[in-house]
Amino acid sequence: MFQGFPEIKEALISNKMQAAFMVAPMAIALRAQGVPVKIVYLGHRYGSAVVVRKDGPIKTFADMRGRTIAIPSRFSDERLIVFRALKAFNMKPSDIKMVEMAPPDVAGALAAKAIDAFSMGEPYPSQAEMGGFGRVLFHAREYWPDYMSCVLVVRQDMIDDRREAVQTLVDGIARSGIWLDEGRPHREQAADFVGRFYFRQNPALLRWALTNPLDRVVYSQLTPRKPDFDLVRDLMIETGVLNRKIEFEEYIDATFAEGAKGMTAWKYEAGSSRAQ
Amino acid sequence: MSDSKKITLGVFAWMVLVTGLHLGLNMNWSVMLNDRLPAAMRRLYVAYIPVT
Repeated sequence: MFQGFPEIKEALISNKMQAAFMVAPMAIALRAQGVPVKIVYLGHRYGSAVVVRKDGPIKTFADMRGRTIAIPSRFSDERLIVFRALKAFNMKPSDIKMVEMAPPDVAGALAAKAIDAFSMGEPYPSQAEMGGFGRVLFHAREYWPDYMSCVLVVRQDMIDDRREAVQTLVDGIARSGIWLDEGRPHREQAADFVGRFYFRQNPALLRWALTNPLDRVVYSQLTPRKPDFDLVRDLMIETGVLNRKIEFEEYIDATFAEGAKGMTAWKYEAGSSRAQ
Repeated sequence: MSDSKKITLGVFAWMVLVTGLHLGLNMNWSVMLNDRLPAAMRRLYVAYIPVT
């Protein structure tokens, strides 16, 4: 487990990690810079939001003029969704100030009034809501209907030399996504064991993020699709974080997603240490 | 035991202690051992942040 995307990027480049979940624009930028990685699957859809202080002066995005908003990285979908909102409100990028901040720090920064808003993935919007000091200004899907954020990136040498291991990983993610989307009981179980053993976060927080509402984060339709990534790429070029029109096939390997079609949900008993 | 021998022994013991603590607390032995396995047998490490 890491605390920031730059650290994950370095670990992937140095082969300390062979695969990583990272924000899609960072993965595209890495490949465009010649780092031998490919995106093989999505992590989820939706699950990001712009959050402001609950009792603060910001009622619509237009009120963000002159304010400071935190984002996880300049190479993030959370930054791109802010640009889409700026466009929707006929605002310029210079009308707001964006600062990069590690995801775990944003809720505290909002509460301390160090920032006026943040654009971040779950569970940090939920953390601000549950803490009583945050209010979701908008969810990402409001300005981006097929929003995606985190993707699974794998080193090219793993794809070349250990395809079966990569396929096993993608199959597992696909099965987990189907299992999660089967309904509330599975999401509540996931909140419990992921919070305790993987995220080291309060399970109640993850339960909020996974069930409030049930489609706050969605784990289906995880196959990489060209229109989705062309949109991200073009937004990256438009906002100045990518300097060439990299083609879909150069940074995506969709063969593993194809191989995962037909997967079924895990058979998992709550409290068990294994799934089948 | 002379003072110089005591000092030398003390410095050596301190170095052993600090080295042992470093090896125990700062080294990821599972990663190091994993790197020495044949490629086909190595565990695949997946990085993540606790965020969607």
